[in-house]
Amino acid sequence: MKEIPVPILKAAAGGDMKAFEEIYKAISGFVYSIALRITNNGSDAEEVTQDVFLKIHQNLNNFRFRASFRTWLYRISANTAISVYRRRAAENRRRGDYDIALKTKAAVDTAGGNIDREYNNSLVTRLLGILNPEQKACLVLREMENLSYREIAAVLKININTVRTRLKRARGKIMKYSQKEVILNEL
Amino acid sequence: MNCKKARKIILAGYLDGEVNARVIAAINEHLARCSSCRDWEAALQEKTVQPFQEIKEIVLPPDRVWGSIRRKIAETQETERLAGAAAWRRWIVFPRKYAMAAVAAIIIALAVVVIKGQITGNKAETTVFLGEQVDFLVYLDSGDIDYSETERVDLDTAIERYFFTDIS
Repeated sequence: MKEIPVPILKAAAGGDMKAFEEIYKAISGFVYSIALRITNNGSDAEEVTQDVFLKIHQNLNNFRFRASFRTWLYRISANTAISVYRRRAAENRRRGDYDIALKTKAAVDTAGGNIDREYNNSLVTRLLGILNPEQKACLVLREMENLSYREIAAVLKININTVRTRLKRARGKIMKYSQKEVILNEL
Repeated sequence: MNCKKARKIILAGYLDGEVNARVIAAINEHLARCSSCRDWEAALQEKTVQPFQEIKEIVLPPDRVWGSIRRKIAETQETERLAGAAAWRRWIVFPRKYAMAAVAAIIIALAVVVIKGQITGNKAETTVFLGEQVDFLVYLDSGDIDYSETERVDLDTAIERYFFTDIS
């Protein structure tokens, strides 16, 4: 994701809606993609994107322009997505269709009709579906955004060893899940 | 290095290049001589890293999201504008209430002062009157008075004649 030029951020902070729209155009895809991966659900990802941009609009005035807007955005996006995912999971648990929601209601947008890409999208959605939201956030930031452990720790405000542990557990779970799938396919 | 330790390190940092050069060298050395761990590491790459590497493209949100954001911002701004106006109204309305309360308090305070003053005034008058009466009684009893000098008004009534007629 590109850094947004500071003059545009300042203009938006001053209430310039055109500048704010420029920010939206530049980063909404990034926010929506992260949200989609963490929530596994298109309408939840839309809700996260909306919440993130409302938070940005409300807090741009207080944003210290010495800090990285990118890190701030990663943090808001990941935390909002985790919180929406948790809320939805709790609602689904109350309704009793938690597993169905997690494993089958994947609404990953697929651009074009590429079968390999669709297969991969579906696979990633399934793999992320077996992780808890914190593990998902770490894995998404690591694999899709190429953030270092130190950067992930800064974004999620956690210890670097926690990042290491979450990634280790996430990959361990995915490995076990894949092995089970192989056995099931062989049967 | 044994297989258990090597696999632990591979999962917790080696895959992402987040271990130091000495550890990377040790793991590479282990993988070179352990085919089981080599296969395991290849499977790990294939199952847990590659699927994510291949879908890095950014997915844009539907157009309606921006419309919804704009609407929400406009609603928030309108709410804040109304809240601001309400705050101004409070500044204007509240002093009027306070002024009325202050006037009522002044009236009550004045009433209290006046009533208290009246009570105090009456009390003072009574004290003076009683004092005068006591002085007068003391004066009557002092023996300084010659009752014969007391002015006698003769109304020529029967009762006067009964009491004041000299028997002698």
